[in-house]
Amino acid sequence: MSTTDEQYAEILRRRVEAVAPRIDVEVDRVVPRARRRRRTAAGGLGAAALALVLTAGWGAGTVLGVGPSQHVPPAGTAAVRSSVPPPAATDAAPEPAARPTVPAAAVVADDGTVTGVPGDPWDGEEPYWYVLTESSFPANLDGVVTSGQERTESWQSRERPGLVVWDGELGGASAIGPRVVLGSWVVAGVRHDMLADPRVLPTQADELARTIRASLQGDRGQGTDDDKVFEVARTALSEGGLWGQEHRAAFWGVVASLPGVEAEQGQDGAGRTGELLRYTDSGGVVHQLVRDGTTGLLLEESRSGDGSFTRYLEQRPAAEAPLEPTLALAGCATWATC
Amino acid sequence: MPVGEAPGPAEALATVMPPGRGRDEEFAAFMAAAVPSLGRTAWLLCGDTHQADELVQQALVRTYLAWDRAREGEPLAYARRVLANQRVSTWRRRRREVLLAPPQLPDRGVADGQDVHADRDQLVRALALLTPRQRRVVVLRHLEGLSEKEVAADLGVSVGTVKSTASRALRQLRDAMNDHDDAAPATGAQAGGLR
Repeated sequence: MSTTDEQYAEILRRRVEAVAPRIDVEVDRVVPRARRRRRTAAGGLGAAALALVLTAGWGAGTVLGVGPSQHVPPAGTAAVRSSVPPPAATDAAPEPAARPTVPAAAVVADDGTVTGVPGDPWDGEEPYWYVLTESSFPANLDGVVTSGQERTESWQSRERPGLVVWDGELGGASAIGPRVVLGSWVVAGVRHDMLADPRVLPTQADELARTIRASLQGDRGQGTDDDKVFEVARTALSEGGLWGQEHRAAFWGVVASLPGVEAEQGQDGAGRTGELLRYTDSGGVVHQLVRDGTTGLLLEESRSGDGSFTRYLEQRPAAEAPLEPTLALAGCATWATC
Repeated sequence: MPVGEAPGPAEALATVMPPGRGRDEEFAAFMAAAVPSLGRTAWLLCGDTHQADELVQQALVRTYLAWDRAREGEPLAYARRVLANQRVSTWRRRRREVLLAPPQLPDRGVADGQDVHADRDQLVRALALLTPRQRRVVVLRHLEGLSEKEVAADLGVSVGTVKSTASRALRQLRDAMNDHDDAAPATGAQAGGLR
């Protein structure tokens, strides 16, 4: 007699009961994190409101931060700007703006539209950053799992919900929330668990590396601090065009400055020439990144030993996604938590 | 202080708030009651104990921020909904990590304690192969025992979507774990047959 779905589910439940580990949750951290987040949100909204008032006379169109980052006034320097009149037109190159130290807060509307922080960093009006990747994972999983091959297409944005399609199957597509959270960072001595404003992060590699190290958390991530720094930079680089070119270059520089990293010109597995960095982690695994030196976009990331890789076959702004990203496709109740 | 008692069924954790407590004291009592269930759900969704800790903390942070609203209804359901709705990209990133064979995977035919680790690893890998939506549905519907209607409400999808997604996800889990009716019974560290 064949097993029904319900019968098989019961078998799975018993199996889960037998193997589920105890999860130690640091509950003492929850309330302080919540209070910190509430203060941050209130501060960010206050700064945004102040910026709105201060910049009204200069052109309020830049204030909400939904356009390219170079057009957005730095949130944390609003107080400085209040005492300095707008610069008169001059032939001299403007002084680079001081990096803000107080990040703006993102506001995610019911339709998933994001305001309050800089928007997508690419030029042009295209709403999505399109990426096509080809990935290979270890095939030898104790006889249990898969061929380990996957093609993934994504249409992502910092300003609106996006879409991910695996192996070209629109029927299995998943929507994703706006890619507005940049991670947990310490900026000017203050931890921001869900930083959304890239302007507060350095664009110089050495300074960015120091900021990353200052933002590491002892009980988060695996390996040595160098391993964790590598993982932060690798993750950012894998997000491609969602970061501006200056930040991409800085994250690359962070990896290049790690102890023992080898740098050379080389080719990825598809024969494309690029700049190559090779980092050996504390477990002896060699991670290799290959990028297009002109755009700073990754061509490939790979690991020694298991032969896994992700190859970036195509990356560009895109005018539309093949399906509208909806909450139903995302499996989320609201975009703000998706 | 870490909290993490042996996990139990979600529905057994009806959290009723004693009246007259301060907000933080009340929330602390809620966390103590809810963490085992939330921890297990998080682990099933991401397959990593450290990541599960972080996901539960994030869900509890959001629940605390909305406590006035959450406590009016069923706060555990609220927290679980927040937990299950966290970013898809997190799961996808985890998937890559999960699929990499961990060095501590025990060999075949080892002692019982290691069998548990191997079975656990096999389950995590099988779950990792599902799409984020499939994993959410099958975890909430079949592994945490919520009704189809509850899952639909939690995830903002129709009951029909829950049914079809859960059915397909179970089929994929059977394939991944070689849990077919005609499969030879598996034993030891590689146990994948019906037991």
